[in-house]
Amino acid sequence: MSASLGFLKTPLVELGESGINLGKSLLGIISGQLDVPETIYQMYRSLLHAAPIVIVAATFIGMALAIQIARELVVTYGAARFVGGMITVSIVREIGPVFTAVAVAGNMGSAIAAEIATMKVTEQIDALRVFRIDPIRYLVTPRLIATSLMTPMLGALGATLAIVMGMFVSGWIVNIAWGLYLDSAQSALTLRDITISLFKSLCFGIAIAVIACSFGLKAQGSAEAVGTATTRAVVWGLLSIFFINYLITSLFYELTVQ
Amino acid sequence: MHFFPHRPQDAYHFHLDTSSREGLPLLDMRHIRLQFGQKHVLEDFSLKVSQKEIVAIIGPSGSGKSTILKVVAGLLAPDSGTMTLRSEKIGMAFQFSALLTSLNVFDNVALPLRKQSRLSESDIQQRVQNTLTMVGLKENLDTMPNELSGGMQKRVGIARALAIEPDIILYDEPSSGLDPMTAAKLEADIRRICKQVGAATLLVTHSMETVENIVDRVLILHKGHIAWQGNRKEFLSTDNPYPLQFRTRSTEGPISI
Repeated sequence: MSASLGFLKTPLVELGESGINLGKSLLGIISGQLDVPETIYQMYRSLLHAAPIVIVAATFIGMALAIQIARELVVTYGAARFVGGMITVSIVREIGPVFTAVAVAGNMGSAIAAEIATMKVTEQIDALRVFRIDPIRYLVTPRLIATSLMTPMLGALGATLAIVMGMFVSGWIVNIAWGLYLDSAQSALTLRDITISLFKSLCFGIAIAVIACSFGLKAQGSAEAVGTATTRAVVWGLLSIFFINYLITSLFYELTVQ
Repeated sequence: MHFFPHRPQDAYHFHLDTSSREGLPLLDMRHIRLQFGQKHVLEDFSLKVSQKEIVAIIGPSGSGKSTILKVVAGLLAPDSGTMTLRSEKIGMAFQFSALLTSLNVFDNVALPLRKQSRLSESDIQQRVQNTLTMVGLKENLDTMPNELSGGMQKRVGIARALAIEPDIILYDEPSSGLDPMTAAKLEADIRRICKQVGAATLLVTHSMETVENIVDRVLILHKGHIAWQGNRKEFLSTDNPYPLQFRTRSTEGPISI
C-alpha cells in the first residue's frame, strides 16, 4: 500500500480487530460457552443506564418533529390525515433507531470501553489470561449479547414514546384528533418497516458493543489511555451507526424497491 | 507499508511437558530473546527453577524483570529461545494485585477455580476459605477490593494465585508499597507456602530484605542480560560488584543511576 493511503491503516486495523473480536464472541456463543448470569446482569445494566436518556430524547424528538411536520402539512397543504403517518414512518424507519443507538453509544458504549480499558491498564485482564479465562468470552460476549438485544428493545420503546409525544403535540398545535393521527400512523406503517427498524437497532447494538470492547482491550499505559479509549469508542461507535444506517436504508429502501 | 508488523516468533519454542518432573526443573527457559521495537528487553536469558525453590530476580527499573514473569505466565511471546514448563498450573500475584474490582474478595479468589477446575461449589468455598485463612483474610470474604488496604489487596492477590494449588508461583514485587511489618509477614508467608505446597517460586523484587530473608537463589538482571547469579549465601558474601552494589545500596557501581 502506498504511503498516500497510510491514513487508512489505523481504521482498517481497528476494524479488523473489532471483526476478530466479534468472530471470537460468536464462536463462544455457538459453542455454548456463555456466562448467563453475567449476560443478564449486563442486560439489566444496559436498561438501567440507557433507558432514561432514551426516554428523554424520544420525548423531545417526537415533540419537535410534530411541530415541524404537523404545522407544515396542516397549514400549508391542509393534509391533516397524513400527519400521523409521516411522523410515525420518519421515526420508525430512521430517527428512532438512530437516536436510540446514539444514546446507547454515548452511554453504554463509553461505559463498556472505560470499564474494559481500566481493567486492561490495571492488569485485571492479564490476571484473567494467567488463569486461562478468555477475556473475550468473559467480558466481550456478555456485553455484546446484552447491548445487541437491549438496543432494539430501547429502540422500540423510544420510537413508541416519540410517536405518542408527536400525537400529543399535533393535537395541541393544529388540533389533530388522536384517532385520526393513530389511523394515519397505522395505515402508513408496515410490518416491513418495523422489522427493518429492529434489524437496524440490532446491527447498531452489535457495532457499539464490539467497537467499545475492542478499544477497551487495546488500551495501554496509564489512566490517560482509559480516556482515549473511551473517546475513540464513542466516536467510532457513532460513525459506525451513521454508516450502517445508510447501508441498511439503501439496501432495503433503494436497491430492493422496484 | 505493513498493516500488521511482523514479529519473528518462529524461533521461539514453547513446550508443556507434564509427563515427568522427576529431577527436572519445573521451569526451564533457554536463550530467551525479546525486543519491543528497537529496544532489546531480554538478551540470551536462561533460567531454571525447581520444585520448592525460590528464585529472586533483582535489577534496576526497566531491566526486564517483570517481562520475564509475563513470558512465563504466557502473557508475552519472546522472539526466540525455548521455554519448557512441567506443569500448566501457574499462579501469579501481580504488583498492584490486579483484583477484579467488580467482584468481592471471595469471588476474586474463587474465579480461577470456577472457570478452570471441576470442583463443586462447596469444595470451592472450602478451598477459598482455606486459602484466605492462609493469608490471614478469612474475615473479609464479602469485602470489595476498593475497601481493602494495599497490603490486604496484595494478600488477596496471593490467595487467588494460590487457590488453584499451582506448581509454579510468580510474584511481581510482592512487598512493594507495604509497611515493614506487613512486608515481613508476607515474606515469611511466601517462604512457608513455597515449602508447604512444593511450588517453584519466581519472584521479582526491589526489596533487599526479601532477598536476604527468603530466597534460595538470586539473579541480577541488567539491560536484559543476566549480570550475576548465585545462591543467597554467595549473594551475601561475594565481592562481585553487582551483588555488592545491591547489598550496600550504593549509587556507585556497574549499574549507573
